[in-house]
Amino acid sequence: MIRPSRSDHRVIGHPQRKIEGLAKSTGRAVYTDDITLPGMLHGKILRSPHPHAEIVSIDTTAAAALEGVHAVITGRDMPVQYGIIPWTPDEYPLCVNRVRYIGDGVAAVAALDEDTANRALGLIDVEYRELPAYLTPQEAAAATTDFIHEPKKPGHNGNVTKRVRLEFGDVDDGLDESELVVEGDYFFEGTTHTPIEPHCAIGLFEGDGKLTVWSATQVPHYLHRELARVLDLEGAKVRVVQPLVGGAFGGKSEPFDLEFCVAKLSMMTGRPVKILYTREEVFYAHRGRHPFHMRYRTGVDGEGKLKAVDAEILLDGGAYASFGLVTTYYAGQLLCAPYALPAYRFDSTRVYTNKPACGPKRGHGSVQPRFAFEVQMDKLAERVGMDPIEFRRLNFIGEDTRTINELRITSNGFLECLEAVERASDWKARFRQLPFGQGLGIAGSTYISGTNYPIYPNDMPQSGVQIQIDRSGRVAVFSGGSEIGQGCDSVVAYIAAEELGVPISHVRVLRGDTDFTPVDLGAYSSRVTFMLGNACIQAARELRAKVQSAVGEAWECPPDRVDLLGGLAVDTADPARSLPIAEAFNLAEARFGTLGATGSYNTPKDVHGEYRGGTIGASPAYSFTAHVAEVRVDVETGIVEVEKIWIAHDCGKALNPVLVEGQMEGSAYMGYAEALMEEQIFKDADHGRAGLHNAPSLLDYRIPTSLDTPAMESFIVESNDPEGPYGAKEAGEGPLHPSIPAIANAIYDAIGVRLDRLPFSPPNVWRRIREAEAGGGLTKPGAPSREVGVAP
Amino acid sequence: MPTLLTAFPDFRQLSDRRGRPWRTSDRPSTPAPGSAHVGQGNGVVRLKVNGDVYEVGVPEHYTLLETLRYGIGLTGSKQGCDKGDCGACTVLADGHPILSCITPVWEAEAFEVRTVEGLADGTRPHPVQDEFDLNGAAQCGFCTPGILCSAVALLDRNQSPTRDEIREALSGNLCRCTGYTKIYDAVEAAAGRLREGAP
Amino acid sequence: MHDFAFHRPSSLSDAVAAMQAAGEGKFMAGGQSLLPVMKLDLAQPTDVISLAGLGELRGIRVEDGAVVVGAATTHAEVADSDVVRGSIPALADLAGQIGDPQVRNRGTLGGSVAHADPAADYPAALLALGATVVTDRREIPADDFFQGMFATALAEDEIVTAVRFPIPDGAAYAKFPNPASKYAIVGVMVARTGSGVRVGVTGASPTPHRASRFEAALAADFSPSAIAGITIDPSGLASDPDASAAYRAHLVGVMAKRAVEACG
Repeated sequence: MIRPSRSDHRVIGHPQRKIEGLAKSTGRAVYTDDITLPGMLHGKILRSPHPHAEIVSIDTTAAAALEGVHAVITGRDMPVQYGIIPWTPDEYPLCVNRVRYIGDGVAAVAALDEDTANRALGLIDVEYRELPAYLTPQEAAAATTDFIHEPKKPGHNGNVTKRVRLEFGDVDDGLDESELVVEGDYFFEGTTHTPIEPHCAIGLFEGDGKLTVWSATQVPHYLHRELARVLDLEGAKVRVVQPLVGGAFGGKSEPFDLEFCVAKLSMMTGRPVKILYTREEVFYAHRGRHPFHMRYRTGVDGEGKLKAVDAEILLDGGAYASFGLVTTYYAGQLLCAPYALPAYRFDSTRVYTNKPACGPKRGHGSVQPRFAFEVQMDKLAERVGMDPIEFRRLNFIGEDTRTINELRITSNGFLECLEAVERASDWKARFRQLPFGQGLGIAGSTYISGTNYPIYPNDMPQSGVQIQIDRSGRVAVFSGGSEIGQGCDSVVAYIAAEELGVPISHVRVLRGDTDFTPVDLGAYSSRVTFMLGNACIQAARELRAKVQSAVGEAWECPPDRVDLLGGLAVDTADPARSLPIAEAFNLAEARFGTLGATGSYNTPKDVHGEYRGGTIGASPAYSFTAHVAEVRVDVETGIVEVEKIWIAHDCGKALNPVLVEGQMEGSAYMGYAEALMEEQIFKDADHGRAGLHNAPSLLDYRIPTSLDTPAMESFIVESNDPEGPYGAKEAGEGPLHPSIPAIANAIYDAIGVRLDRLPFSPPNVWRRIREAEAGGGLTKPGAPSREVGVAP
Repeated sequence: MPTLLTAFPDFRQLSDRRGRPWRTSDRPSTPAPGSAHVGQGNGVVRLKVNGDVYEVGVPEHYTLLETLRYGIGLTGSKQGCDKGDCGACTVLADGHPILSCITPVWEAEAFEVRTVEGLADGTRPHPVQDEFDLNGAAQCGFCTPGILCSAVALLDRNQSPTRDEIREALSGNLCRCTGYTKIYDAVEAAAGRLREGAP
Repeated sequence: MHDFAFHRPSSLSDAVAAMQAAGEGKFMAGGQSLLPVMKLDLAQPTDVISLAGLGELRGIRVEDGAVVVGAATTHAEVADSDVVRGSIPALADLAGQIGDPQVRNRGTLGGSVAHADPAADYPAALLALGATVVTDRREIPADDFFQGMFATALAEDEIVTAVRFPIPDGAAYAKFPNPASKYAIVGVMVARTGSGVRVGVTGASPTPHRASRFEAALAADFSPSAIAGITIDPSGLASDPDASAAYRAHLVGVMAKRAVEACG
């Protein structure tokens, strides 16, 4: 559903094409693997067949001697540790003396073609000494020897990446004083991003010492920094080009081995080198959703108001830290809205295991606890006899407030979200009243609009945009934003068109190249629209003011009487007087010289708590979401069919409602997929080779087809954030969260069975149904017994 | 379940050929009499693609997708999985959608190939291409070429598809961005334009 | 993929000769299973011999109370065939549920049968309908054809030319698909003929098989309730993260019941 814009904007708020839309639908859009450079070589990476082993020796002689092979490298050629989080560098571009998961890279080859490179890999002789492999977080946490990484301090368990314990308010008192405490254990299985485009990179090192890397990355800036550091090059001589990216979802948000390898192989050969991951390598590269083992205790008072929440979380991190430090915090920090928690404690521990590293997947770190918590909310509502939507309203935190962990909340449209899905799903007439086997479930959530602090500490802007306009009327926007399908190249074009009064087709967005764009930190943590948008507004408004000033001078009127819109400069006091916008630009160019401006955005610094870790989870604004899911459960087979998801999302302001809806639907789809189908799981020694991916293919790793995906209906809620660009907040990650608990709660409404382990796949659901049948049978739960605030 | 890919879990390496003995000529083959054997390791394939006839020298094991992308330079068709699972490589064979990444290129001499680059009429996009843009049906755009081929095959035979017919027709194309809803909207809108006589 | 020689014989005998001359040859029909298998190096043939150009392997006709489907007929052609839909609608229905549209446009009956993927759909139909596999040199009853996971009665150089499906009085296929891939975790076809009832089960075990206890019960009373009390022994059934053996055993019963219901 697209609501007509309430604003008087000409461009912003209206459905628009994307600037690269037709290129994408005619096959002209260029992705990294579409690029072929003259003389290009092809690289391949040899990967460990062992989940945990010491590298005793590597003999590359035979591979290097093979006809067509131009270079072979091993970990010793790049012995510099890196990691996306500066505090936890723990991986090498290629392993130096230890492999930590099946698939860890140990050597790379550049050859005339892929076939030759693959033959060369087969000629590399690696001698390993196998070490005990830790495949579960419990085993890893209990280990006393053969740690996956060396302990930072003697006597510590080297398998523990990070432990965070924080308490706000007095949780023990809160639970003691609660009228009712609900306890629950939950398990969220790992899942992976599965962009349809595999990772791909091309390196080109030229005789003048300059390195260019083309890559399907979400973070060209961080890649730029790490390439320079690991390869010991001056940053000014490194260039990262980001062609269009064929999906990412967090899976391309840190440097990967192939980017270092193409660079190093090009430095050795003087030829461009391309590496394209196979689909199997994409599954092993991973950095996806952490499996979470969670225990929650949640207490309410007699009115149904939350009193205290106590959480224990164990994160299965895989072999490397990745963003894990942040994940460990997010697991607790992002739970404190949209409900007011008077007391909250979490104890969150991330451990290494001998599996591909987990990292940030859409809704980083907060999708798993949100699942558990929103099921807890459903259980509490039932126990206190309240409608679960009313229960959520009762506990709403409000706007312009602080959470218990001191995060600043500004705009908050959560109540409107609840109302939208309640009405659209005909909730009041149908919840607890559908026939057995059919059900409705509700869940809510919140998410950040960007992290308040960059990954490496600095005071520079998080995002920058440069705009240059010329006498033809053309507007050139130099954007460092990372277009991964979400539409950020279009967003800066819309903003420039809105502010400078030109048609969108007169805006050129020059992007994806660190040589000519200002720094933007990347497409992660739902930061792009908020930060890049604000930077773009600043640059555009500076130019707008110059044009207004020059035209005002010519018309002998105050500049603020000059409006720029619809391809014209217009006198607002005398609408008959106008100039074509190109002529207005000419006046400005004559008056001020060549016209360019930069804009930048940095976050407010007073929006978090003054405690260790208090900055993590802080954001300039938070989005809010509510879903209602409708399901049909076949109790004979365990098949859960999600018939529809109603999605209401407070994005602050929809700059282009078509794109916002696309993000909402794509998010809800991905949550649905995690709820019902997806599992990134590995074999143990009893079921094959320990540590081997169970199904590294798009055939067996079940991602939903068009036949599987439920109907979805979107409701955009606009709370007009005071600091967002035109009031906008994020829309790309928040709407994933409620899908999963809403489906779980709907299954309970349908058949009275609680599901606390993901995924709700037919065998898992069937098992729970059998347990319920054995324990007394399946029944539809009873309707809520009381109204808001009425004691039982 | 032992689908063809999981049947031999212990033999499956994590990637295509990794760590396997390379066999080239340990058991050399000889062309049988009467059999049109393509060549020894490479050959020239003759393809009709989007109305043009190409003669391309390719390694004998090349697929249609590899030939389109790396032999001819038509990079619109994408490689997402290289195993026939994702549909990004979908092209039309005599109007029927097929998976070019698991079609040996020599088989394509038997039909006319149409790719995403061949859907537009000169500078005028096919209505479904235009509607994809208008409806936000392409986010990252990587699955889009294959989905458009499946959609055009549907619309060529049915200009009034129901939503269920669209879902069925696109069920061999994975999209990871959109949740499919906007794609259905675009196909329905394109069908409407075709019914009204759009070329 | 590793290199191989690609052959396009113009007759069955040339195809057999090419195979006999090959180092390690593989026949290819639609290639929808063979190419992925080769890309994973699960098969490394030196020679691939395409059967796609052999006109004698194509076509669908009714002959002596049976539907005869040429081996190179695609799943889409079977699903859309007026002949099949008119005489064995359950077979057309099954073919229309295989994989996805692209796979159905290239994948063939003969290729599927010869490949013998334990999660393929066609084996359920061959067993339930009492089909006969016709090759370039003999005829093999379906009951003798499937011999294990990816194993059949075919000789290495033997080519399936057609499958003959006797037309039943009624038949239906009920499938529990793997989400996304649409492979059969369990697929059951039930067919009723003048001579009795046959129940073919695919997906549940390494080798597709007939459910004889269901057949006996249904022969006496062709109704869902006749098999409601029969439990399937899970030993010997496949077990994996998609479905345990016990769950598969349960699903065989449910799918059989639903197929009987659909038979009317």
